Amino acid sequence: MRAWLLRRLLLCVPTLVGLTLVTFLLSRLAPGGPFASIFDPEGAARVSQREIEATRTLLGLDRPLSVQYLEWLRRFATLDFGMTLGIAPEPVATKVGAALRVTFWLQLVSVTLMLGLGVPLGVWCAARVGTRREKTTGALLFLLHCTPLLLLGTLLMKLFCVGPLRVLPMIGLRSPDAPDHGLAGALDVLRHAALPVACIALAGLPGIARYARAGMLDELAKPFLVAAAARGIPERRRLFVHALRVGILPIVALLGQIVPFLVVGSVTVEKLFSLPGMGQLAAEAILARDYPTVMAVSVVVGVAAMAGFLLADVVQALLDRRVRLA
Amino acid sequence: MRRGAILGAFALVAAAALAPLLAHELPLAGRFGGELRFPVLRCLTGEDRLWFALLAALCAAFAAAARRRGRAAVAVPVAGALVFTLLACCGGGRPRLDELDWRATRAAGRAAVVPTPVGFGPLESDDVAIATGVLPAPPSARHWLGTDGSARDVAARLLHGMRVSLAIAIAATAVALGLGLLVGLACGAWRGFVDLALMRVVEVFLCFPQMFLVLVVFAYLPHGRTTLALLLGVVGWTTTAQIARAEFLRLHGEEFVVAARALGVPAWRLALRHLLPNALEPVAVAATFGVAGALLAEFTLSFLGFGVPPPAPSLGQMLAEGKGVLETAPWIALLPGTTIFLVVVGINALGESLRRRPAAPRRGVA
Repeated sequence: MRAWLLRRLLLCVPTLVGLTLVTFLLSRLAPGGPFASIFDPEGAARVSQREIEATRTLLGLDRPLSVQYLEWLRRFATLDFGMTLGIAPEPVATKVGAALRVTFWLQLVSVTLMLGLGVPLGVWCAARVGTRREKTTGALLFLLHCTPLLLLGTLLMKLFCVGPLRVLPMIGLRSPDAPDHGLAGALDVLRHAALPVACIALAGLPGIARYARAGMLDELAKPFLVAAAARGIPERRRLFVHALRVGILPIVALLGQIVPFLVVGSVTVEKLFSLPGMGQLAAEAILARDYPTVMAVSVVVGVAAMAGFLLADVVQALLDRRVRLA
Repeated sequence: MRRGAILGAFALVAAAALAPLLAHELPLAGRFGGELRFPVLRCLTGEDRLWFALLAALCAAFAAAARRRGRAAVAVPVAGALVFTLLACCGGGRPRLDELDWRATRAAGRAAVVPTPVGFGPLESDDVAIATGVLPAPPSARHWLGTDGSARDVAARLLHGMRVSLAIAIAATAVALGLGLLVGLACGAWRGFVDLALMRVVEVFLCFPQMFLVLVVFAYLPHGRTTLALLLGVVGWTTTAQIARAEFLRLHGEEFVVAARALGVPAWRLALRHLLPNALEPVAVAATFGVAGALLAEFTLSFLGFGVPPPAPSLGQMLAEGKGVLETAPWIALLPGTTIFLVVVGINALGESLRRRPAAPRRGVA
């Protein structure tokens, strides 16, 4: 097991190098170079060529690309992501850190809810396959799967934020007048997060349910479960203890795709509900061509994606001993 | 129910493709000072004509498919193909002043006019709606689905916006299909190292959040329709590649392939004439779902501000604008999403029924 884990970890190194290299090269290849936006294009005529050269030397842009890359990597390793570009520069690390916290909690709650509802629903569908109720549920899940996340969000907003049922705030994460700490503050954040969480969880529900259903259907057809039923083991135990152990494997494989989302966040939902998370940060940085932020965000997301992959592999190996030999 | 969903989506897609005939700032036909003119047809743009040509091709394909069902079944699609071909040959002209101002011309009694059903173009602000002072104007006989905050007709913008989304989604799927087939073919043809390396690339693509990938690459590229279609295609090729690869690998072991190889059929011919036609069906099913996915992605991206630049109608942008007036004019925010939803349901239903269809007989065996 230890050797397998070590090999798996070593495999991450080339991917990591590739990821950082691509991010770095993309930013250098961008139109006008990485710092084009600090050389005001309209005022370009007023800035002398010598000043531009001086700035380039100051920023180290005149050195060979390989030296620049290594220097950038060294700073990255110490979490020094530089300053944001724009009117009021601030450290990228602070900004990313704050956004990361919002997104992480939002996504963690949503994903927990999504799995907590989706897996039992899938198991239920597999156990009752072919009945009228199961078919109706399947059709409803199909419709939910086809619903654009944005439509779902707007519908929820329309229902709960405006009109007669105005019970929840529409945008943001805090009310301006709410206290920072204590029960009232926590309640305020909860009220703000309710709709975004519902949105993300509902959007992911059909996929999870479908995976769980497919995995369970394969498993339920096996003779050992028929034998278990014949021995008089109650259905709930058969489903959730005997069958789910293997039936859940496809969902575990999905974990690899879910973990990065803990870090990226749903750009759509964050933008729709104006939540200050990673997705919103990324979208704004991209629109403002704020390359240091974009680079920091993409490397963080890439690392998270790799971590997710790794985690999925490890959990899968723990659940299914055959995988380890491969 | 499934049939209804497919037909509904088809009707919406057809309406979007025919958008200039349904919603245009010029009238469909009119007698201006004794002269009969067809302003919309005369002023079709190149893009409008391309859509008509596409519809004509679609009708021709339907006609070919319905060949066995007798003359009556063929007649309608053939007629459609002819009409659309004729329509595709129109256009290229410029609007005249009395046509642009057809409402005033008609009011002055100088013209008898047949306007388009919606009666407004997607970029046109209605002065009458502005004069009422209530913007966005609620649905009325003049504006079926009301207007937006700039007094532009929502129905017209929906139709034309849908067409933009569809164009991007179809182009993106075509790119994804091409790339995926190429990669799948390469994996199937040179198994071993090439296969292993390409599949690792697919895995990396799959584990990276796709929407984020598109956004990041957008930071370094000029925004616009072409970029959007290319990017969505480049992100979406992985599924096609995986399916195509699996099909090619499966076919490699089949007797007719072994026989063809034994007969000395060159590798490229084997790939193109024997493997490809037999692998197309599952790939086509994946492509159907791909169009739906690309539609959703385009909707989201244009909402985030990465779609077509502003004055052009775009469903995502309508939603972003409509969010601000959710209280007074909820239809602006809800209609674009609902339209996309209906089309996506139809396309996915079509994909499902294609997938469950019994396998077609082998092609290219003889």
